[in-house]
Amino acid sequence: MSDWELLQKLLGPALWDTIWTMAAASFFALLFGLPLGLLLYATAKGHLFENAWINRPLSAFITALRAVPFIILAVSLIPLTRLIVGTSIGNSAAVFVLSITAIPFYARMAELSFREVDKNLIQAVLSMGATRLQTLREVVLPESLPSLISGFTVTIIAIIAASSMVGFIGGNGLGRLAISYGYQRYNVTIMIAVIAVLIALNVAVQWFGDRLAQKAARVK
Amino acid sequence: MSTRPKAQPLLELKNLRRSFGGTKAVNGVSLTVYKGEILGIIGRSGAGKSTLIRCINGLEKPDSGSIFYKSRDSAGLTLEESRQMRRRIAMIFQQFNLLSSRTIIDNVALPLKLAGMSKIARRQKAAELLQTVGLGGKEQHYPAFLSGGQKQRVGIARALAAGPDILLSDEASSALDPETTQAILQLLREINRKMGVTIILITHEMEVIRAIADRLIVLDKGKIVEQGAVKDIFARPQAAATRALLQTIIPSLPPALAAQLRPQGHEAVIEFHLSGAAANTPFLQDLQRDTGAIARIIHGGMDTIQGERQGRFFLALNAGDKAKLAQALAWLAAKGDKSEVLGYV
Repeated sequence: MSDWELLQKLLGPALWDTIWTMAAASFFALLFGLPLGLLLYATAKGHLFENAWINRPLSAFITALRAVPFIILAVSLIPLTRLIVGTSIGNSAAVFVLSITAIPFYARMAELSFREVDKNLIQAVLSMGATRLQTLREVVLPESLPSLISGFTVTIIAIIAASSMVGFIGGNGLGRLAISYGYQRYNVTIMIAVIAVLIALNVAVQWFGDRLAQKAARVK
Repeated sequence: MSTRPKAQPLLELKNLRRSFGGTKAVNGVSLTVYKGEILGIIGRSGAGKSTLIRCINGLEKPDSGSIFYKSRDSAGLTLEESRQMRRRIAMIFQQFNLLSSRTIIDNVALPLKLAGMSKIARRQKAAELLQTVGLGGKEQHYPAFLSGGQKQRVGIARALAAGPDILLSDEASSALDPETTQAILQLLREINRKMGVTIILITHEMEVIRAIADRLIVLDKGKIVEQGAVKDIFARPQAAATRALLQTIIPSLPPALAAQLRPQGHEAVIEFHLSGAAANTPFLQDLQRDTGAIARIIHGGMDTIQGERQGRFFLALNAGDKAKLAQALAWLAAKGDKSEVLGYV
């Protein structure tokens, strides 16, 4: 089989696996990371629901998760992955470990976005007689939307990078293709092709994210 | 207010105190806001204005003292009641504080949304208010597309949305150019006159007070140092803080001239203030007719404060004949609010 035929046969499914795991992990990052980020923000000192009993342990836990390098986290999670997903290899297992690393990542990103909201604006809305929950819903969330989108774009790109590493521990996708053909079998064509596709994927995600964030910013 | 005994108190602060660390931001302030007036509260930065506002709108708890709104002590209010009170006291801000993620009309409708009004009803009300402030047709724009003056108009419309009794203006014109400032102040005056909304203007600029305030309270280091009708305070400021704040809008002797002043000379330089009926007379001719002294205007002019004419002049009089000069000075002292020999040239 020539390089070209090999590429035609392997690249499509690998790209699909990468996109699938990326999308699923991004979905979980948003689903759990956003509320966690909001909780981190709202319970922090000087904010709407200041509560050190929630904020300190939560913040420490998220920092701890973020402190472990991804590949080490992924390996150490194998028993847990087996327990929850049923297997430690394949797309579902990859989605699980990627989500575990992406959720705290996005929680921190979202917290930063919320903190950018002008405190004067929050005070202004409180002075109109808004409740604290109304203030979160009507001010903090909509005003931080452009920044939340930008942060989510960065998260997706981090997930793509991490998803390639999952190839080392049994995940499918472009990472596995590059490792098993490009690295272990010295196939330069496939290596270059994988790099090109990864670059294209990242550029596309970034471009789309930027456009969406700009649209949400309501300044143009 | 003091000159209108029939006016009823709307908001009363009694011996309000609030400290931060060792700093007494508000140090025993008692004041009354009367229904329908425009009350100016002026002070330099650090005088305690911001803390006072935050106490009034409930964002800050005073250490001691009480706030009565419509004769009810705000300390006894439940959380929900104090939110209701905040809706009766609306605010406009120096930095506008509009939501960039919402259209103009939804910004204006926000207080109504918070109060639970339906979408159709609140949009209709917001559209009317935008007409009132002169922004009809801009409903679907976002704040980023508006000028500073337009943003403040949106802020005013939003403040009026909940139908407040009091409009609290926190340096609302300080970020605007002079022309826009005047337009915004005239709009506030119109709202006060037509809708009967009581206005509290918090500012560090006497220009703002002069334009529309009826009554003035001067704050310095957390205390009230002077209060009264704007025209009285402008004509006869008592406190040093008041005089310092007035400095920017009251004519003072140009430095070049002040440097030439000596203890002796052939002309006396006199600072002369007059107001009320005296300000409507040809006083230089009258002075000459009554005393024979000819005065020359070096600097100064006339102004109108709350409809009252007020003049501030620097005059030069011949000092050759001491008796005649003394007679002229006595005449000026009787005629005006202030008559003081600054020196001779």
